[in-house]
Formats: sequence, C-alpha cells, structure tokens
Amino acid sequence: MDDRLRATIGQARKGDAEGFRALLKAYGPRLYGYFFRATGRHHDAEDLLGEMMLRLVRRLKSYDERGRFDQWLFRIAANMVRDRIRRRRAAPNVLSFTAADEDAPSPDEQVPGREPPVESGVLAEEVTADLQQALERLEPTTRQMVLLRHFGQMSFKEIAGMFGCPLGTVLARVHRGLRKLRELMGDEHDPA
Amino acid sequence: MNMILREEQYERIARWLDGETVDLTSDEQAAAREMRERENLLSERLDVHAAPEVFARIERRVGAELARPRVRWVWAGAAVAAAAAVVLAALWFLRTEDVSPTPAPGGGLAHATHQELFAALHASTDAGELDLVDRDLSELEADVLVIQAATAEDLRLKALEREIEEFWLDHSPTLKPIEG
Repeated sequence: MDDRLRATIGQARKGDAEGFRALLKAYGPRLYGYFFRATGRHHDAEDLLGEMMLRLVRRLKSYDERGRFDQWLFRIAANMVRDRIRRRRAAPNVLSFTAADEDAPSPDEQVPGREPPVESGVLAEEVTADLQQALERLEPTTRQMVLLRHFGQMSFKEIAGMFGCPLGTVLARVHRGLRKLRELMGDEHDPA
Repeated sequence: MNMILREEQYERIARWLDGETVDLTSDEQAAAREMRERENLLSERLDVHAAPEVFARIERRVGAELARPRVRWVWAGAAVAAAAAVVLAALWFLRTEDVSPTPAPGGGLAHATHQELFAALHASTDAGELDLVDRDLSELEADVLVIQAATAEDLRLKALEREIEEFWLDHSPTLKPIEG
C-alpha cells in the first residue's frame, strides 16, 4: 500500500470527512461502475455505493492493512451485490428462478416494467445498453468474476480465493463468459 | 478460437496471466492471448461514468453519518450547561433575596450551610418565583434524561448493528456462487 493511500485511510479512520471524500474520489467511480454493471440500474448503483460508504464509516477500523485495500473494498461490494440480487429474487410474483441455463433470460430481464438502463444524470455517450443486456444474460457468478477482474482489478488467484473455487475454474468461467459476451453482442469476428 | 482446454491448463494460464513465470504450450499461449484481447476489448466498454451530483449526494450522506454522534454530544452538553446555568441563577436569586429567617453568623448567605439554604428555600415567601425555577429545572432535567436515553438506545442499536455486520463479514470468507 502506498504512503498516500495509507495516510488517506488513516485520516478517514479518525472520522475526518476529507479522508472519506478522498476515498470516494479514488474508488467511487470504479465501485459505481461495478455496482451498475452488476445490477443494471443506476438507482441501485448509487444506493449501493452510498451504503458502501456508510459501511466504510463504521467498518474502516477493522481493515487489516496487510491486505490490498481495493480487494477488501470489492469483497464487501461483491457481498452487497449478492445480497441485493437475492433480495430481488425473493420478491414474490416478479421473478422465475427456474432458469439455470445461461441462455435463459436473467432475473433482471424478467422484472415486469423493467427500466431501461438509461436514466437521467448519466452521460449519454456512456450508455451501452447492448453490453448491459449481454452482461445480464451471463450466469450471475460468471458475471461477477468478469466484473471483478475489470473493476476490482483482481487477479484470478484473488477471485478464486473470494469464491472458494479452483483457479482453473475461475479462468474457464471468465473465458467462457467473455466468449459469450462477444457472441451476444454480435461482434464475434475474432481474428484469433 | 474454440480449443478445448483441461482444468490444469486453465490453471497454468491463469497463473501466467496473474504474472507468474509459467512455461505455456503453444495452445495455452494462444488461449492466454485470446483471453487478454477479449478482456482488453471489454474493458474499453465497461466503464460507466456517474453524474457528479451522484457523488455529491453520497458525500452528503457520509457527512451526515460522520456528524451524527457529534451533534448528539453537542445537544447533551448544551442541555447540561443550561441546567447548570439555571442552578446558578437560582443560587444567585437566593443570595440576593433575604430568605434566611436566621442569618448565619457573619451576616452573609455565603456562609450558610446547605441545610440552611434548603430551609431558606422552603421558608421563602416568594413561592411563585421558586416554583418557576423549580419547573424550569424539572423540564431541563427531563430534556437531559431524554437525550441520555436516546443516546443509550442509539449506542445499543449501533452495537447490535456492528455485531450483525461483523457476523456477516466473518461468516462470508468466500463468496458462494450465486445459483443461476
């Protein structure tokens, strides 16, 4: 961990708002992106990021500085996403849970009156609805792994530790997930 | 490229992609290259930019959370200070009034004992004003008690919340795959 990050965490641990502002500035965009891509909704992304920051206010003292800070953050974030998805699934008369096939509609797609991913307050050029729809068709664990690779900048080994599965399995899932994304987005003209 | 790889090959490629020194076969190298290309391509599209007001709203939530306990202590301190001020005012009032039926030797109320002050308070003929002070004291005391009770309750809730969170984090060392 670099000295600047250590100082910022130290500042935040003392309850200094400036320290939390710096953490939000440093990690907020990545966390927001992760939450949005994982849930498909800007409203959920903002809500989860806010909740995450409040959790930090209360739990930053328990962070063990020996571990990588962003891995710690994204582990919490992944747990929050998992809980949010479970809560959505538990909503009666909204979702069908019988689909185990990756080609089946995702829970998000089954929500009646589902909001399109475009919402106010987001720069229009950043909206990639096709990508979001493709992501939502991935099996949830595979989607999480793909997103944690990008937003959490996590190694395969770290993801394997987080999900409690073998290293080779993580790579195989991510590999298949990436291939499927390209197919779904209609740009499978891979020179490789 | 749709080559079939075995689990141990995937593991070797993963270790190589993580930066370890691993000798890959040509098939494994091709798969690793393909993985990297696909990840890079996806990375260009994945980032999402939230509007600045999103972060401003979150900053306000964090600020409010940080300020909450301090505000409580400020209010509790203010109530105690107000109560002390009323007590001092009452003492000052007793001192300026000739309330002692039998002045203490030396003539001043400053030398009166607590018992004498108590007796003087009860013997006072200006019962209306004393009642007013008494009522003010009671109200302030009630305010302080309410604040103290709220703080204790909040502390209990906070402790419970912490325990739940710690349990939640301690018991999820690994993320179980979400069933599809």
